[in-house]
Order: sequence, then C-alpha cells, then structure tokens
Amino acid sequence: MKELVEYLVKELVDEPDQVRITEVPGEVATTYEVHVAPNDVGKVIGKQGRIANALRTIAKAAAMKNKRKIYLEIIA
Amino acid sequence: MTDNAPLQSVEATGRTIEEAKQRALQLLNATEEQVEWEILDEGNRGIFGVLGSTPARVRAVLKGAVRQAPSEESERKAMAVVNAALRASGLAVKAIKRDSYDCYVELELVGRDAQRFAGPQLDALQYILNIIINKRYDKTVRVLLDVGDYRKQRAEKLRRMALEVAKQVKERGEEAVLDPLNAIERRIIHHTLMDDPDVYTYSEGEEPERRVVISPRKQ
Repeated sequence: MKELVEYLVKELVDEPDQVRITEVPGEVATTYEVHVAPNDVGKVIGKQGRIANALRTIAKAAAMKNKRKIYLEIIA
Repeated sequence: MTDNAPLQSVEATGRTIEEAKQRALQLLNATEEQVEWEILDEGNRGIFGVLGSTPARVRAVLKGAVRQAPSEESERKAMAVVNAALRASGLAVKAIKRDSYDCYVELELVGRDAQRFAGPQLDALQYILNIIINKRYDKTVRVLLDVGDYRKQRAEKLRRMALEVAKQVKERGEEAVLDPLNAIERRIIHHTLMDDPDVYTYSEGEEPERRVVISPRKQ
C-alpha cells in the first residue's frame, strides 16, 4: 500500500514531480519519509493534521500484514 | 442539491415505533398520509423498559419524492479517481457502484484483497479520495466506500457498545469516556442513546482523538 499512499500524495499536491517516498528501516519501526515541494506541505498535512493522519492510517494498514510498526513523516 | 431544499426523507428514533413515527412527521412537517414508512429497527423495550432497551428507528419518505442523484458524468469521474487509486495500490481490488443518492455515490470494494480495507483505513481512504475528487475533478459528488457489509456491522457493533457502556454508567453513576471515534461513528453513539432518560452524551477533545462521553443524568 506504499504505492497507494504515493498515488494519493501525488494527487493532493500541485507539484507531483517533487513527490518522493523513501523507506527507512529501523530497529522497531519502518519510517516512510514523504518528500514534497515546500509549497505543498500544507496540502499533505491538512487542517489539524487530518490528511497526514489519514495517510498514516492507510500506511499502517499496509504494514499490518508485515507486523511492522511504521512512522510516516512529511518532509519539505 | 442545495442546502435549503425541503427535506424529502428523515430518520427518527423513539422508545416505540409510534413515538419514532411522530417525531419523523414533526421533522418532515408532514402528515401520516403524505409519507411512506421504512421500519429500520423495531426496538426492544428491555427488562422493565430500561435494561438492554434499544430505541425504535423509522425512516419516513415523502410520497412522490424524487430521489436525486449525482449526474452520470460526476459519477464516472468520481469512480475513475477511486479505481485509479486502487489500481495504484497494486492490490487485487476495485470499486463497483452499489447505489447513488443526493450527492453520494456508494461504492463497494470487491476483489481478493478487498478485506484489507475493512477497518479504520476505509474512512481514511474515503476522506482523502473525496478531497482529491472535490478539489481536482468534481465539486458536486462524494463517494462512500464499503467492503461487504462492513459499515452495517460496524454500526451494529457501536450501537451494542453504546448500550452496554450506558448500562454500566447507570449502575456506577459515573461517566464513561469511549475510545476515539470519527464523526460518523460518534453520531451513531449519540443517536443510540438519544432517547435514554438516564444518560446523556457529548463529545470532547480534538480530532482525531475526539471521544464520546456517556454521562449519568442527575436524579
């Protein structure tokens, strides 16, 4: 479902070419770093972080299968 | 669909079917002859009308009401966005139309991997897809996603939980705070206990940590 998150982020932003998702494996959790253009950060976070939280929920569902904890960070 | 269009149908609850019907008529500002009834839940008066009681729920639809629905064009655009996202997931899942009414298109996710969407991720996906659809493609339409009868079962589970917790609240005389729920789910809890004379409900906290509190009414 990483691909699904990537697709959604690209549709949310104005500069889809700037979207890059990198997977950083760690001891206990995998971190997904979502890189977007500086002007697009707000569009991916949303009011009170609602959009970012929804993306996290989707990413978590993806990770459930592999029983891994995940973090999702949005980075300009 | 405009906001001030007259109501065409309404759902109401009451301790009995009759009470629910009266309330629905009031809400619609209509008389018995002008509506058709759907009994959604016959309700259960429980023991002594208190323990384990569930409210009766009815739906009143004005006779001759035209069921509005999004245009075919809007539906097509909305479904295209949903299916493009699902294709991108690489999973064996796609969306098929189940129904459409008002500004909504109800879609069912089907396929070998559809069950992976049964959970909080269903609302999360629905939320983001609607933002994308409304911002980029069509302002007039909204999608509602479901997997099998996930929504129905989830609502049933929430209703049962609300009644169970309300019972404990009455026994202990102390309020109870539920786990965080989204707006639609919180509404189900409020609705279920609306007619209970011994408890009242309210929400507190900020999304996505907003929780329903079930509180005893002071004697």
